[in-house]
Amino acid sequence: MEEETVIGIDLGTTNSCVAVVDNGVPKVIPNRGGYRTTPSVVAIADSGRRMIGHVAKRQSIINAENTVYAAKRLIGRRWDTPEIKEAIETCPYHITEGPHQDVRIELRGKMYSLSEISSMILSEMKLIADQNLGHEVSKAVITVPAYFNDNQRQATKDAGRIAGLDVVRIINEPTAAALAYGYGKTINRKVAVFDLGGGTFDISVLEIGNGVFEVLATSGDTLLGGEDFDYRIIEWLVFAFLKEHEIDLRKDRMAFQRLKDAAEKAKCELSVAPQTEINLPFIISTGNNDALHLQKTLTRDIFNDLVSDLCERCIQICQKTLETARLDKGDLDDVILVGGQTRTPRIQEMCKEYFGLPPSRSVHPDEVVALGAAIQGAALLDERSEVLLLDVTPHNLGIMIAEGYFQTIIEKNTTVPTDQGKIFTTVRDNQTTVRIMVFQGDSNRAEENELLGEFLLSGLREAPRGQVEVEVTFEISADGIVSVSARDLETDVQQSITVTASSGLTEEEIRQMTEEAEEYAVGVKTSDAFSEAKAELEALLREIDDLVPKVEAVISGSEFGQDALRKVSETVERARGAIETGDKAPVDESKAAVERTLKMLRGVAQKLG
Amino acid sequence: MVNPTEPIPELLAGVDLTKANITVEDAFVASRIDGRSGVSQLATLIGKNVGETKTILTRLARAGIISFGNISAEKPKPKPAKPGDDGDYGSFIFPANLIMEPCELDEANRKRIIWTHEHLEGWNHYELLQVSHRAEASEIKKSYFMRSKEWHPDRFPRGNLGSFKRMIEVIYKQINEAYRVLSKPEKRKEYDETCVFEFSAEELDEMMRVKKDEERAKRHKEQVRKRRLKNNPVRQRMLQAKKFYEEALDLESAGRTMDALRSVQMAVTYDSNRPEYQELVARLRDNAGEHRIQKFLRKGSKYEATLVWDDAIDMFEEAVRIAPNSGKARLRLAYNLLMGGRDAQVALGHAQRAVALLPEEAEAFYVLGRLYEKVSMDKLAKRAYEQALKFRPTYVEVKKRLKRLKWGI
Repeated sequence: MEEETVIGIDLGTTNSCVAVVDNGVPKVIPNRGGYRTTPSVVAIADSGRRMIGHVAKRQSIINAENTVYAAKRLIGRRWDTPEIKEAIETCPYHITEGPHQDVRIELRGKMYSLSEISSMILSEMKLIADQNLGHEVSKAVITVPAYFNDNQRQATKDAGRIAGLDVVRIINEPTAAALAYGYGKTINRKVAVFDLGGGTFDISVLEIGNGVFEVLATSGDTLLGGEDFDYRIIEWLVFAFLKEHEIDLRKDRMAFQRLKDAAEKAKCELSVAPQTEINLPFIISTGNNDALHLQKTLTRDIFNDLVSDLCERCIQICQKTLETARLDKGDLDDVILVGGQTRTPRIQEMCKEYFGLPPSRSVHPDEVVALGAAIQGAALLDERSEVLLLDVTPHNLGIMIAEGYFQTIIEKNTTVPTDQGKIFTTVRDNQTTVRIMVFQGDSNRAEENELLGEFLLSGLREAPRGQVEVEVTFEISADGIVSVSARDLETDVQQSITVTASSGLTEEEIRQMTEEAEEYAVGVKTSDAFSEAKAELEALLREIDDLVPKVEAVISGSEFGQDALRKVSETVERARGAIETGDKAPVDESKAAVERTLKMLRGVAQKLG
Repeated sequence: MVNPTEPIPELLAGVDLTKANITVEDAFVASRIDGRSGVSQLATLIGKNVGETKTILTRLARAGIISFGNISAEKPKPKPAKPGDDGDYGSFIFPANLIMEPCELDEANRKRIIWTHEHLEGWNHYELLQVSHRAEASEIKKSYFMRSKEWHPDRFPRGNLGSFKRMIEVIYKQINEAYRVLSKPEKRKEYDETCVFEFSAEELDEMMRVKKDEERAKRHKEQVRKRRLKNNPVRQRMLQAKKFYEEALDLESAGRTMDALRSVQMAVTYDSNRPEYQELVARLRDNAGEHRIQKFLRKGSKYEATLVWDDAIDMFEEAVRIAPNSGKARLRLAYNLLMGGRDAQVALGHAQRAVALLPEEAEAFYVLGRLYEKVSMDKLAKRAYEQALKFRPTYVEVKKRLKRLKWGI
């Protein structure tokens, strides 16, 4: 087998980085200009020339409408979502609807999909690698935020394909960082990776031992990043200006772009200085041949105030993740900070305070992810590698069932590869077709989750509802590919799909489908024995409900009577709890107690006449 | 003195007893071995007989602890099929099409994959992860990491893997599932309740020992109870009674009714609760009675034959007094009372008793019938005669009497 090189690409919201493993040593590949990171910015000039990276960023102010930044915030999302709506408000470039309810960006009259935009950045990184290594590179590992859903991952993979890369694997950024952190060392440690990048926040908790990197739990927020911190500064400036001059600077694209630049710069300066001057002369014209200037001083304190709720959200997510991993803060051996935003003193303070550990200084926050990706790339090509990554799926995977609820089949934080199945049934009499709609997310309402795909399974025998059994199996491969299959347990007729980038159904459409889906819906199969037991128990409980008022008035006078009434209501509570469990055994147990209670009540009622 | 032809057991050097598969008793014996004592000397030392000692020594030799004659240490029995047994696939047959299939895996890997994939269903989660079911969480995690390094799809070449790709996936998914259950305490607990475990050799020994101890305790308890009973005075009396009873039975069959009766009466004084003793008493009394009335019956019959009713009656009355349950005595008395013209009611009583005691005796019914006639109970008389005829159809007298009744003479 010929020597093949795999590069690792960190496709960041604000900046991208590419690395490779050279003779066992992972190294960042600088571009011809010596830069080790490249801005994730794409622009089309007047002449039609394509600009990517530093070049594109430099001209962003004068060409705001045709310069795309933070495409990562839009990739893999559907048109009719609140995130897109918000982006349209704030982004100077044109975001429009695509033919399949997906998102397109219009540059100089031409429509580009988000994958296309990202592919331009990727091809730039590929070029950097080609130039540096002296030969063409075709294989790459690309990183994504751990909390990205399947559509977002697929779209990123597509971007790689468009750029001419064979994307060997998509891996999670925090996991990549942990890889780079633990590579080459013989360690047994539990670490947390706190990754606050330009557009996303991820927290992953891993256990490293004997070269195995096991993700215990991961969580995050795909709309919380450095850009949000910038935006707080922008807002602060805008509102101050609005109050003084009654002009909303956001409405002017050029002004907005300048504000954005200034905010970012100010934020970075505050990392090293306690305060900074924001100076934007001639920010906007008043229309009377006059121009207004903006000048303000931003202190660290003001900034900390502005972003305190963002920081709080990070900590909350960290807390939840530690709980899921069944660890205490004290169990962690190290905290790794990843992403440019973690340079902010406030963030560092916060992490130190929360975790009780000084953040690890052994990794470079901007480069560690690309290095990790390169390490994984090399490991995948060499089966004897000492490094093994055991990552997890970050969101619940499941299907929509009757009345629009979401039934989880693979729980989040399950190690992949994995497969799990559940048995479902029909909800209408003589229903011969079921529609399997695959969703990913954490809400128990399907419409609030991300639709990954759907298919129909027909040919079921006509039967009363609840009689036909359909087994739905989910599979996630080591490469992270999701496949879903549905099988009629009687006829063995089977239908399946491998989830690829969804053509994108809108939330509105899903809502519509929910209504008509009652025709094709699938219901959760409850065992008949349980239903019977439940019905019996409920009948008993109804009788108790009838008797108690008749009896109450009389016996509640005595202490003994009050005690008895209390016991009755406890028994009823417990019985209702047993019904909730959905299992026959607790229901049967409750039934005995309820029957005794009922007998007692009947006896009393009789005596009272 | 040592028997020169006897092998002398010696401890083997470098043996770690803590890792041996032996019992506490064996270890004790091993500790008495000094390389100079022979089997018989050792037997005395440990307090067992020579045969038992030889058995233990043989066992120790087989376990590789000592050298004893020419008994060599047994090769350890091959462990039952477990994942991770490298190379030792026993008699497993690998499908040729899979071994020959063009793909990037070498033969060793192929065999490993095929073998594991075949046996996957038969292993529980603990066996698959190769941990004992008492393993701690950290042990399980360590094992999971090692299994992952063996079976994760990334640990196999990326190229063409043919049908093996699917097998590897299935194997590793199962490993993941096993770890998913065992790593969470509540899921592990649930699983443990449904899991059937195999016990290791030590655990089996422990269980056997506990069982043996339990049995010994039980037997001991039983013995103590018996001893207690043995010395129990009530029991003593019961045993004594039984002895007398058995003696009485023997005497009865020997015909010595009176002696038997005496014995059984002794038995009853020792143990008055036994119904069989009472039965024997009654039986013997009757026999005795029968025996004693023989001479009166004889004398009575003589008088009867010579029609000297009164003397016959005296004789038979005596017989009835002695043996009230003798049907014969009763019958003769009834007859003679009838013939002697004595009180019919009294005679009737005897006759009824006689019929009860001799239910198939035609003569008894005849006498009964005669007496019923005497007291003018003709219907009953007729019935009695018919019964008599039943038992002796050629009874002339009865026929005569019946005819007379019918024709009202």
